[in-house]
Amino acid sequence: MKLEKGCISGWEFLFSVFCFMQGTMLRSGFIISVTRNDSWAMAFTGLLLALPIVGIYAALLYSFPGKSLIEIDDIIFGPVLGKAVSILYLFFFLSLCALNTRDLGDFVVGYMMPETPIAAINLLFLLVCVYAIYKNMKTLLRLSIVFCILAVGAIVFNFILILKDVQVDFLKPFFRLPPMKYVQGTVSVTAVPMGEVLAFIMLAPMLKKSQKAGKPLLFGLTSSAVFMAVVILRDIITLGPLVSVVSLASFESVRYVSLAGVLTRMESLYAVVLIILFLFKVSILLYAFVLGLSELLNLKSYLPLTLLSASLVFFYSLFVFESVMENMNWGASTAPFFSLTFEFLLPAVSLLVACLRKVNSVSEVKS
Amino acid sequence: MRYFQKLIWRFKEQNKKAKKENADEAEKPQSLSQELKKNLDAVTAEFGESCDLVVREFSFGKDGKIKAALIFLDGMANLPLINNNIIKPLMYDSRFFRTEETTGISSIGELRDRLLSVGDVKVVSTLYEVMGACLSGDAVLLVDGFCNALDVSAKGWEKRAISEPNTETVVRGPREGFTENLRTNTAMLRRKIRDPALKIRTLEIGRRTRTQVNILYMEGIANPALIQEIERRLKDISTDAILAAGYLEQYIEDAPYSVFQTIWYSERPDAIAGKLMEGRAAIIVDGTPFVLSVPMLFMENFQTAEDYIVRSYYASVIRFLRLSAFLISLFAPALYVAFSTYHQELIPTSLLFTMAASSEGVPFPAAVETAIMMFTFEILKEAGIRMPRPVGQAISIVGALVMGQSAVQAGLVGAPVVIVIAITAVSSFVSPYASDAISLLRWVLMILAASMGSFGITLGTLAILIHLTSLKSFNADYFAPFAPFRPADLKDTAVRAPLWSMRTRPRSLRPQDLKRQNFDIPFDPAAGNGGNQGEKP
Repeated sequence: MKLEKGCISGWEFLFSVFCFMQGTMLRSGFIISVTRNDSWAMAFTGLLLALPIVGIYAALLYSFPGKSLIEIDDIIFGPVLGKAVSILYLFFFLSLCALNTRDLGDFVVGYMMPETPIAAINLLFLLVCVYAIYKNMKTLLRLSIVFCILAVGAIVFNFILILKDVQVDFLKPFFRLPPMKYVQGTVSVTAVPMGEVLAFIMLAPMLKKSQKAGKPLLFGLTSSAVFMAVVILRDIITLGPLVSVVSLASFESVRYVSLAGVLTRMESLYAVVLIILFLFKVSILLYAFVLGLSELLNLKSYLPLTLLSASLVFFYSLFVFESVMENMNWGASTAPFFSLTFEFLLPAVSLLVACLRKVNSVSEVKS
Repeated sequence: MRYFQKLIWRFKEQNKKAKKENADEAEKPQSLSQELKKNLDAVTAEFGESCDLVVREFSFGKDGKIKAALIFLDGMANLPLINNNIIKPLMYDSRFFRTEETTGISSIGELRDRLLSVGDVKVVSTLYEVMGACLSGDAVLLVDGFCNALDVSAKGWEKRAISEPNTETVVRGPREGFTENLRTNTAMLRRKIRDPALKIRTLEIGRRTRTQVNILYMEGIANPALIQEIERRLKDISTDAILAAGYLEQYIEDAPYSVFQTIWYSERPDAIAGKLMEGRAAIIVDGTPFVLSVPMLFMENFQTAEDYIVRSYYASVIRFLRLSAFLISLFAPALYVAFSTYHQELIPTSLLFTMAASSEGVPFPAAVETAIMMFTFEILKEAGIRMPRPVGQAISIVGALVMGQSAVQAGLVGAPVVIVIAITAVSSFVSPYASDAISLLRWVLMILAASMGSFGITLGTLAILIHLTSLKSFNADYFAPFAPFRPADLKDTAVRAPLWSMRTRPRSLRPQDLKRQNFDIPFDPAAGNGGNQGEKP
């Protein structure tokens, strides 16, 4: 089974990007610990910084229509160096996949099932991801609209219910932190949730108009930045100074909801939405890895690799961090540099080389 | 070596050719002979000693020179019709014709044209056709000296009268339901849709049962590719027996391994007529009062004929109720197990105390308790369907009193479990189409909840969603207006929008003619144009 081409509409692609981004909502804690009550602005500055990166992706997709990242690498760098670059990308996808699985495992163990071993949780989770890939990625991308409605509904619903507990004064003072903090916040927003849309370059050939992947990418990113800002804003005005203390700000702020003693414990709803979004994200990353690997190895079908790759992700996710604190530390300090290497540096170099060598798909066809 | 290979190849080719010729010979139907005696012997040889075969030999014409025989199966054919319209004209009326007309009939068609006063008469020329006509209730007239016969339609067997459907009752809708007789069913649909565009294609499936299967569709509305696909799948069936529509369903469905059914069925002509007008096709199998309709979408599990008869507000509320009942019957046991085992903190404190008090002294964990009750319910349900009617009382007494009340009193199960299973059971009957799938998935979710709590339920639900989205029914996306998302089709899902607002047919079915009402006329209730009445005044 090869990648099915031209079966996804622009809208479905857009909503997929949105769901993919929202799956990283948990990570807003890292930004809040850096920029505190100004974190909401980081969503927008992060988006601004992400624009050129998305521009690079769009340019790559535009000049190589219908090609996936692996094929593009081969065209630009030639068969040997291209394979090496592709392996770097695949390593990135694999790592992201494992990191996100680990995040989910930590979250579920921490908040839902404290006595269950993380291995059992990750195993069941990855099995469902594998099932999604077996059932054709198209179906999951189509479901993105349903998930999107769920996610947005949960955010709006919680926001309305929490309105009576908010204090807008918590936003003050505006922008009084040292400037380096803002740079750090912006870079980490760009690197950790936004740049990860790199995985969508692998999915772009599924689009009906694969040349025009830039638009849905851009709008998906923008809308998710808006919702990210809304969520961070909600957390800040609900929790106040507490926001930088608690580990999962959005989870804690939802706990404040209490309507007549009946509508309480809304965080369980939030947890369900979060699991759904995580599944979406990890499936896409796993798919990007599996598809890339099968293209790299010139396999006819990616299905045999799926279960193997999932088990690889499973073990990787178990030993990637020893504790939650290590995870937090990685997210705040190392992750942006690690991610930006693959998200910005490699694609930028690819585009540069492509321009210098003047290769594009047209000349490739001629030769 | 090469020579041997060539030899073997040639041998194979020859074999193939011989086989082909044999097959051709076998397929070539035995044609009728000119001698009446030979033909009759052939027919009686085929039927053997079946005592319901009637062979009536007689002679007619001037001086009774022409010998003939009438063959039919007793009980299948209409005897008064045979007596009055076939035998009487031939034996009695033919005497009044002038001599030159009756002595020399040049062809058997002449008999049909001049003597037989029956509506549907065909000329047949093979033994196979003769047998087929007899078996379908027709009378066959064989005349000496001709190598073909007349197939006189004289079908008249006992059949059940049209009655109110038992499975789908409505308050305000029509009361007639399909019967076992194929022609009655097609006639009922013809009466609903008086349009020559309602096309009926016929097929014969099952080598031995030779079951009549009709495909009905609206030409110009239904997608021609859909009809082709249905015909292709039906023709691919090579079984010897199709005894009910359910047999056929299993041969042609898209996802035989799925717990969800991908072919819809109904006992109501108005429901099937509605499906035809939406661009679907109906499949009627002779002998089954349930008519199949394809493609099926997931939402059809929750639609009933009544939804379109009552006003839209109430219909929407009922739809919503049905969907909630579906969710309850799917999730209630799982959620109970998850909450009482893993997430006690999510239960309000006062309720938690009550639950803890009532399950005090119960020897089993919540999951086992729930499993026991679910199993008991399934047994009761099955017993309720299979038992003979007179013992019904006993079942309900044993079920309700002994199983429910005594089990709680004896401390074997907690009272909350009985309540949860009761609401689950009642809810599962609200949407009968989905109840088969639910009763299986309920167990899966319960096991997931018992092992992984609400995390397990969430993942299980996601897997179900992914499965639903991946399903197809005759090239239509099963989970359609939701994924892929089609906003225009949402008018007939969780809410049932007013009929005048449903201006297009469901896009998910890819109908040839999308337009149900004219777009250009704005709806204006005051002007009373109803939004769909042809030209502008």
